Amino acid sequence: GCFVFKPSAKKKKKTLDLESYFTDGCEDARSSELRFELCQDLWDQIKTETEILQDELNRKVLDSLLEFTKKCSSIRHHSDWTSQMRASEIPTAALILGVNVTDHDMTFQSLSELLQTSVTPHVVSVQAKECGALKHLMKKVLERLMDTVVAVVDDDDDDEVEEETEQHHRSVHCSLTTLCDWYSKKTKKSSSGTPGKKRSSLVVNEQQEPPVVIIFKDLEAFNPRVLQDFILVCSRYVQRLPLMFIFGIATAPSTIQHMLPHSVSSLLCIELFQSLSCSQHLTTVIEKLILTHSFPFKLNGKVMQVLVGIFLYHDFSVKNFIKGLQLALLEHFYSQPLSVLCCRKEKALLNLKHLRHDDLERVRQLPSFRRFVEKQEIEEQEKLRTDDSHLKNVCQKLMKDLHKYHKCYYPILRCLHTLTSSLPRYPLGKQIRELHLNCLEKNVWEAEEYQSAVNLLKMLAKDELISLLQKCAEILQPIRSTQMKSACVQLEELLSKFQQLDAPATDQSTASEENFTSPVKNLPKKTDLFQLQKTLLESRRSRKKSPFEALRNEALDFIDTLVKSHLSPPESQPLYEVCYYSSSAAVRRHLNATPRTSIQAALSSPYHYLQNESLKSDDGTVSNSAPDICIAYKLHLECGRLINLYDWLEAYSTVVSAAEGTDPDSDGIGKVDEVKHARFIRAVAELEFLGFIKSTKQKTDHVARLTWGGC
Amino acid sequence: FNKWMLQLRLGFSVLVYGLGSKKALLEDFRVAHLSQEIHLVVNGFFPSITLKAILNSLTCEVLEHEGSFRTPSDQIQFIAQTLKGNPGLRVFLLIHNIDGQMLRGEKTQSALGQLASLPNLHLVASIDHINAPLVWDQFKQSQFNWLWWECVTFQHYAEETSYENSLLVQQTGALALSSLTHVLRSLTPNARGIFRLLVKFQLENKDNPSYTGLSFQDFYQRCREAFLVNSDLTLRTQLTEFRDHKLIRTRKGADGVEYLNVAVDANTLMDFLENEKDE
Repeated sequence: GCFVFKPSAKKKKKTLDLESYFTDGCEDARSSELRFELCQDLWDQIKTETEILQDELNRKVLDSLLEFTKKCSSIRHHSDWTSQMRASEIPTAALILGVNVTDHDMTFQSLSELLQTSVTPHVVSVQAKECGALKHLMKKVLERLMDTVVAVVDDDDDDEVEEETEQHHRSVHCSLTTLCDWYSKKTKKSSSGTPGKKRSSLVVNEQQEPPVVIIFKDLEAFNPRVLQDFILVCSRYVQRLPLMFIFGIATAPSTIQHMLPHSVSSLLCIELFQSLSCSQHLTTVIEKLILTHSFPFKLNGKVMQVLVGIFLYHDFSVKNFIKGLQLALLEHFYSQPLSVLCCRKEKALLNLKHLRHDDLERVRQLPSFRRFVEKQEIEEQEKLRTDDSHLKNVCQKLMKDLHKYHKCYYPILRCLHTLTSSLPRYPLGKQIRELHLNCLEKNVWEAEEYQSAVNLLKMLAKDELISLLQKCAEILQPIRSTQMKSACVQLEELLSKFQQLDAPATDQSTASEENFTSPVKNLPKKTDLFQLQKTLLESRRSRKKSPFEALRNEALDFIDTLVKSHLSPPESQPLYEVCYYSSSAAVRRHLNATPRTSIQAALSSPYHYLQNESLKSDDGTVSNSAPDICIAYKLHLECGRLINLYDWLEAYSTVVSAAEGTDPDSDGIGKVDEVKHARFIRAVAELEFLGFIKSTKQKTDHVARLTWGGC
Repeated sequence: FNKWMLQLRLGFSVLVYGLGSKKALLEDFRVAHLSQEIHLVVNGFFPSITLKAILNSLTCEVLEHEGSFRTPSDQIQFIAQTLKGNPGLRVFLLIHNIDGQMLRGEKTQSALGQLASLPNLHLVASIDHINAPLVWDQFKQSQFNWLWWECVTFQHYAEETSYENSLLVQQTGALALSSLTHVLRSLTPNARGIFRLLVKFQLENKDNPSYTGLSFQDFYQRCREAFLVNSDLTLRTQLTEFRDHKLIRTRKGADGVEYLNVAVDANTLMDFLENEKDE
């Protein structure tokens, strides 16, 4: 059942490279090459950035782990009394990782690299599926230990002969004793000092006796017996062999107690380490990758929602999220010819100059561009429709606007997030991604949540508001400085407002007590009279509003306008299609498919796929010209749990003969029946193959249904 | 298909699902795009396929490595190392019905997952069973890195179901006429005569509800008279052979005597006798 095809040497042309697959589907080769390059660049960027992020996020945990290992290895030789007391205890680090198994590999990878560079050359990681029995586990550990050491030490430490023997260790000789001998040999060989000098100074000791670290990647999947035996055996050797375990735990630390009986877990000296929760992780990834203006490729609200939904409701895996992003990127660049403009501003403008006529036609076809055109003057419209060079100029302006829009959008989004994320009940969402989704979907200020958020903000106390505004200022400050030329003059205004705000706030703190007695006198000059009058008129309460409240309202109004001007969804921008990928259905189909639904849909309503007019029928009825398997399926839906084959066959042949239009009592019935019978058998076999029914022994000539529903 | 190739090259695996046989589709894809590449076709519906066969064909024929491995995991490691050291070599693996009867095992799937996670081995597979995705846990899913494509073809599962023993035949325990004649063609004339005797007797009594079969003694008598057997022993061995082929059934009667029955329904027996006469 297994066939190998090898291309014959004669026919060996140059195999197509990756790029040509990309360009094959398109008619315009040059632009697609460009697009392909862009796509690759962006993808590489995503990859490197995520890896850097991973490392950063894991840094804390890994550093603490490193500390732990160093401490353990030093403690061993530090004082003989403690080491005797804990003679048979193995230091163990239990690493609590989340349930997102898919992301753990990277963590372990960086962990073992770190350990190898900084603490010890002997690091092994074992997976549960490699170790069904103790023998395998031992063998794997030893092989890898020897191998890693041989691989790491490229100096003159190892003789050639030794390497040979080590690599050809047969599993028969694999026992901890050999490991001990090997280890002592190694450490002795590499020890530069005399044996008498041993155990004199810590540093030398650490160099001489690096711990042997064994990483169990997935503790839950291990066979408890194997693990117990292994720990028992190791604890016997702990005197001669400085062992250390690191457990990767996906659920909770209580699993150690579940898996290991007390006698075994007492041999371990466990310390817990908590890794970052995955939703935080996702938030940082989204912040760095999606919520920046430097990264030109964007997702629209629906696609974001699909990806985040898969993350939150299915697997909690950041890796899969990145994969979805990759898919969206690929699809975007593959299907959208104008995606050539999806890059940095200078490059985009350059590419824009090289656009051809048909590309420009595509630009004219874009719905967002059409809306833009309709707003223009009549002559202008004509020009845009016909004159290519003019269109190019306009497009340049539009592209610049788009970039400006992005530059303003994200800082303001962050501002709004800092303001609203501290509110009770989180009207606009707790995480910035929720806010982002809200903004992408519709005009955020029309939503009820936004209104309630603003009302809540109006009730804020003074110091809270000031601190919040200061935070906003802090967010805006670096952005203003880092952006090459921020188009937002408003940022400056806002900043100056904030600075002013601090000054009167201090004045008012003293004045606020006198507010009841002397209303208007103590007002600082900075707030103008008109403003005050307005607030006075507004206030229906007997108590006068402090100027602080006026200012507060002003600030909020300002933020409000800011939001309105900058947080409008991208669909409002002309030419947004260039940067936004918006086919959420495709992403969902490819990432999170439902084969069962598709099969059932095809069986119950074949019209959906076959587009045959005669197959069109109301729901629940069987059109008799449908394929055999559909008829059989429909009939089997009408039965209970057990289906009598004979009745089924009868019903089937009735339907089919009606379809053929022959009178059931006519001649040739036998012949037809045989054909029908064969067809029926085939249909039933297919249903069995698909897993809808299975043969049963409970009754003769019956099959059991495996699915529910129907009737 | 171009898109498929692109996605494959970017480290995804393509998975095809939907109603109908996808074999022809994948075959088209193979002919159109893989003819220049080294590729391997695995028929998952083939009832005797094993993981070992797949791995062996990978190591022996693709990588041209002589020698055997003790465990599949060693073999996979070897494959991984060879492919890593040889980045120019690209292998395409086409699996029809990755959810087939023999490939459903957890070990097999995890091995395939390990293979699929290699950067220069590309996997194209199809599934049919409605519960196929239950085979993969999160870890395997991430190894496979599936991209799902819906392809509803409505083609008949000709090859796939040809291996499925149809339950209509199995259920009744009835043997099809063809298999019956095939078995008897390979026997001696005497044996065929014995069987025919038994069949005739059963057909004569087929409307008799109290008929339980032919007792062994009676049958022996009849066979002796027809010069078909010469001793008790030969008849017994002959009957054992029939029983092994599930042609007859023996049943102990109330009086402790063995009764013989042909385990095929009457219509088939009629057809059988007619066929015999024609010959």
